[in-house]
Amino acid sequence: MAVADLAMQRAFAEACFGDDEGAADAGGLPSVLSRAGVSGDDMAALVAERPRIWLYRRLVRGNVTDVIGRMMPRARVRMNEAADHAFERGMAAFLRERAPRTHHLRDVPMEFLAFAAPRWRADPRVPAYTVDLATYELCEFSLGVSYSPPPTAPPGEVVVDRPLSFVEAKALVSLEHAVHRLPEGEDDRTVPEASPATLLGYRDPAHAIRFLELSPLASRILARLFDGEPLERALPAACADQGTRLTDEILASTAVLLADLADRGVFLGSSES
Amino acid sequence: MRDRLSDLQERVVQAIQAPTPLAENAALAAEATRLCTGNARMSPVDQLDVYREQFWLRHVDALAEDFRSIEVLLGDDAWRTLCEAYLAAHPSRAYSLRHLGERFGEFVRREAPWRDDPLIGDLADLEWAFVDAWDAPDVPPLDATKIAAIAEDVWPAARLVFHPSFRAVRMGWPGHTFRAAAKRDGGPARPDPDETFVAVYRGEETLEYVDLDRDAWGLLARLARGVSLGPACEDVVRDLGLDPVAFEGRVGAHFQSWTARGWVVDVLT
Amino acid sequence: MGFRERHHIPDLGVGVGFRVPHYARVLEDRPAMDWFEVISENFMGPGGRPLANLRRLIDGYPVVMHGVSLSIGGSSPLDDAYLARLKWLAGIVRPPWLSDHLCWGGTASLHAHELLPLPQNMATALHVVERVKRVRDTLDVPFALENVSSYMAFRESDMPEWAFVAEIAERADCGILLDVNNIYVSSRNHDIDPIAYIDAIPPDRVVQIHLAGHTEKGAYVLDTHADHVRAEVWTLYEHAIARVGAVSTLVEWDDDIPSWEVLAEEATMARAARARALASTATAAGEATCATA
Repeated sequence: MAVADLAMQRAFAEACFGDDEGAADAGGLPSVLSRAGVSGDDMAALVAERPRIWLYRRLVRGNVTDVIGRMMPRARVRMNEAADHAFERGMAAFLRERAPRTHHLRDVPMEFLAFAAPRWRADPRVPAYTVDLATYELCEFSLGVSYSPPPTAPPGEVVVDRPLSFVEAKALVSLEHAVHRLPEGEDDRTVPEASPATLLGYRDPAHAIRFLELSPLASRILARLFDGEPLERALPAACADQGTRLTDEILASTAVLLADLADRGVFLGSSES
Repeated sequence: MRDRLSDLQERVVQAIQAPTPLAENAALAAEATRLCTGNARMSPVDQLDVYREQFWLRHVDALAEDFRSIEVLLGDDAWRTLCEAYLAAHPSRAYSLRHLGERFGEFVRREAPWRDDPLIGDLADLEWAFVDAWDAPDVPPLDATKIAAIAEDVWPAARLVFHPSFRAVRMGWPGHTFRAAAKRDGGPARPDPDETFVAVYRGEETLEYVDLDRDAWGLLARLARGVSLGPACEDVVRDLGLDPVAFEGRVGAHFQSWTARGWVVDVLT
Repeated sequence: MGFRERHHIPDLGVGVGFRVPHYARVLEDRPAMDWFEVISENFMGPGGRPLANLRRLIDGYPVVMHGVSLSIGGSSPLDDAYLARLKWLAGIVRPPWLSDHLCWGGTASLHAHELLPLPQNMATALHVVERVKRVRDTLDVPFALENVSSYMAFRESDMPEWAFVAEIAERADCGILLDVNNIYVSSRNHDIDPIAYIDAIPPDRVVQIHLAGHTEKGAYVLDTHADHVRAEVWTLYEHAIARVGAVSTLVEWDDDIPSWEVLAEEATMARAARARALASTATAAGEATCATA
């Protein structure tokens, strides 16, 4: 790509995601363009197109904030109310300081949450549970739209030295508050109790999103199994993570867990290789 | 060109009628790949599958709109199975979804396993009576002066003309109370068998239904078929073993109630 | 002379779709609304309650007819019975124009009741043009085609959607119902530039604009008409109005239909956006006049 094209791209990104004054103000645009390395005729042409650039800016920013807000509606409204529009401020900061890097709009909310969550946690005005709620809502949306090929066969024998196979639409999510037990309405303002939990979220065969609360050990085992570790390695390693020894009781309860997950359509048997 | 376009359209139509995701059908998935480009977020199969999914949502919803009580009676999975079978047998060829359920009653009475439960057929007839009543044409109401002018000895040969929205339905169950409960709460218990007669018609603003006595239904059913009043009354008296004099007294009351509701719009003498 | 001027297409302001949950409110209370759009097929039955409601509606408001079943891009012959009934209904409603979609709806073996997209190439465009001419000659009312939302792209397409729409409208000499939400949805689904799309549409052919809400589905956006108009679509709408001028606008809401008040408020927002866009073009024109004076 030619240098001039790269400069134009940088200028365009800056005009879309930079401070409002930059692109909005007729005087501001030349300095935005010049910082990006645009000059001469290109600069004159772009300045003449200022209303159009402003239009693209509104459109691009609208796309981004709209998709973010819609995936975390309850967290957004609670956070804005409790902490001086913290959610909106988070989005403005995201656009200004980082901007989306993914080409897929549906992945933007995850980039946003990764950016905003540490700031919210550091802001004493933001109720800590609302960050959990954002995480939970985003997980729920992502599971709803993630690709999940239909299972090809019922789960067979569990082979301990091969990775196990699970449905694609699943995720482990760790929370400090019981936001998963909150009523669903956007008007509800119940404050959840502080109660750390790890949930397994998944999409069932009827495409309903479900969450299952896991014990700390079960969540460690599943995290390792989801990473592709075979059962014979995942079990002792998970026990070590938890500072405990692998007992017959743990073996038995793991078998029960896998059988339950098979019933729920989450566990699909041992992988072919 | 016509051939290329019609070939493409035939292939799309075949694919979107598949009841299960295209990814589960190798031949249709290959067809999707031949037809569509896909993009960075969606494969060609995903793209065409959006239309397949919408096709089924729209058609199953349209049937549920017209036959809500059967959907409630069967539950989601069995309802979907019935819709799939019906649409495979009777794909929509009319420009309006209004006609989609035209052969639903006939289908559930003919095909297993639904024919084994006649309540389904009864509900289908009842529901379709409501659909027909909604947009049946308007006709001028009965002319009272014309009725007053009919000589008494002419009445036995008279034939009644009913409003196009009027339907008299006979069922082995109180399907109309089940239908009302299904529309209201969504989950009523299956009704007990009980022979039931209901008239469905369009009122001033809304669709109405009323219970009919067995003798009123018998008479209405015959009159609606075009039998004249005298022979129709004789048939009912004979078939139901009624007292002719007592029944004759009731016919006048029936007629008054029918005309007051707008069911009878003309008398042909 | 442009299409709108030639056919005396009026600017009706901002209206909404006439939908069942609002029948009683609209027909009894007669709330303020510039105009209504009706789905033609809902009133093409034998008569009865639907037609009675329609007659009451046209008694109090300007009404435009919008069809969904013409299948202008279909490869099976145009349905003469359908066209005759449509003409009959237009005789009752007497709309200033009527519209349907630039799509196909099925084949001889199936009416899919879907707005299926066409392969965008010149051969298809010419096929559609011939059919539009027949429809146009059959009806006594100016006819417009609406751009549809789409979720699949055909390998046989070799021209951009905007060029396809413009080519057909110019060759068939018909109007365009510009659905701004559909442009947005298709731009997201097919990675096309919605502003370039609007800019490529011949402005004088736009007889009406549609606005509606859509639904995020993750890998694509679905045109559901089940929500408020989204911010990005308002942005595009203002741009469209600035280009095409004061064109009748309609807010569509067909699923999860809200109260009349919510819908009327959406129309009020459209009225404000339209006024803003028209004022900004007037200002820009004023500036240009000053500059050249």
